[in-house]
Amino acid sequence: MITHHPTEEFMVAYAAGTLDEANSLAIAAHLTLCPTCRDEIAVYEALGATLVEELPEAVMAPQALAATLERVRHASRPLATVSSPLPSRHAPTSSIMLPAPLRHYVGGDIGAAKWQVLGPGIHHMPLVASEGVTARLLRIAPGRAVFDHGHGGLELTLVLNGSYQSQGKRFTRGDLEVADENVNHRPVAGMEDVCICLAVTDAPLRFDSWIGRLMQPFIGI
Amino acid sequence: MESPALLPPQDVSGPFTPSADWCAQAKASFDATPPKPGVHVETKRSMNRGWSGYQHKAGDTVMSDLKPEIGPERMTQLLTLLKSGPDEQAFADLFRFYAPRLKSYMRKLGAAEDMAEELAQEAMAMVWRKAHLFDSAKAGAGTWIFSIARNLRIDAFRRQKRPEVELDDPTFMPDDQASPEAELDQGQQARAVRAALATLPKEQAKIVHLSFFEDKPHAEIAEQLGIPLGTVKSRMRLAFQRFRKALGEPEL
Repeated sequence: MITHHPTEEFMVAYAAGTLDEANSLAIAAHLTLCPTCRDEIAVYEALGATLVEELPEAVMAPQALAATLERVRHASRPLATVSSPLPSRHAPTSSIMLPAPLRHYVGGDIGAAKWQVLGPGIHHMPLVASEGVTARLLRIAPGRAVFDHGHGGLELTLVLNGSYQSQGKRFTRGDLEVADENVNHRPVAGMEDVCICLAVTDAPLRFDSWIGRLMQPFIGI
Repeated sequence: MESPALLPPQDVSGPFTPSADWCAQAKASFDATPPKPGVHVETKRSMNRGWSGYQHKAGDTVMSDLKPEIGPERMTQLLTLLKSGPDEQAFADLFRFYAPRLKSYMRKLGAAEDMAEELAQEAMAMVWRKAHLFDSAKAGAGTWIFSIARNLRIDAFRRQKRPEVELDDPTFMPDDQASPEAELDQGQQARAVRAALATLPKEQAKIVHLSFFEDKPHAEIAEQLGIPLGTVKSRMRLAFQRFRKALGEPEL
């Protein structure tokens, strides 16, 4: 049961298409796992549509319609599908761990991840960096504590496997934690399994960010 | 203003029935005191002859063949026609309504005139090419077309990929049974959103517009408006709570 969800700020920006790629990846992965948030996104997309419908009309180029029809008229188009395949009503039983948006960046499921050592018991795989924001997979050994760290900006963490405990709260698969600069936490991976999560942080690595502090002794930043 | 090129021949011999306005209808359906019958609510859209409000010439059967409905159901009906086959007239009707507005959308988000024209035309071309994927049970026509235009803009303008949920993903967690939101059909949903938008306090409406039409972080929006970041966030929260409530979403 997912109990930690993205804040409105991220949800609205994702629906509006103004969210950077790294954060969008975390939101799309969370949405795959969270029907509640998919309903919420649908509201914001309907709102976006309404706002566009209420915009004043721009003047289109002469013959714009004819030109557009010309673009498509000769293109073959698949026939209408009778109905799109409906997702099963049952919880997935597949052994696949990573939601599809993540698999595209990793190049497969978790087995395809190319891990780099980040610290004792901690590995990472950077996936995307754009607009000063980096998304990476993290793999933390069971029971492993990450020392206290503050945040330079907002940091998103989506749990994909195992769990971690932070500030008296437990985060499990599908949970997405939004930590801001006021949060100073000491996440501890659950003992039951390796904790795998997607972490989205400001880049370049900040001295005071979780990842930055972890990497500091290794890369000397 | 519609471009003259988009209007049918200006033969006004046929009857012209001004469309009632969906926005006005939505407001009316939410007002305790609906407008008196016969009172035409003058709005920007009806003056623009939005929706299908272009002039018909005699014998022009296409629009009048359909029920005189306008608004979201109408657009969904047109898109459903396009889904079932290469219906150029249905496409033309969708184009007349959406293309000029999608162009405005692109312009607002910083596209130059030529780029906005190109993106609006390409978005509509994608509506044609992807029409077979449209599912009216999942989204109304407006929402579906908006998401196509939005993704096209991200590709073209931000030069980024758009990570998206995939329905056939084995990790996809299916919907909860009978969520209250599923009780509203897409047309009702569109009207509820419109009504909620119409009653939003001005300062919240401003933030809502900026959230969709400014490709900027909230910190910059706050700076632009000369208000603290916390105020931007709290107005946002209040505004979006209202939308979720209008659509029967549970409080988070």
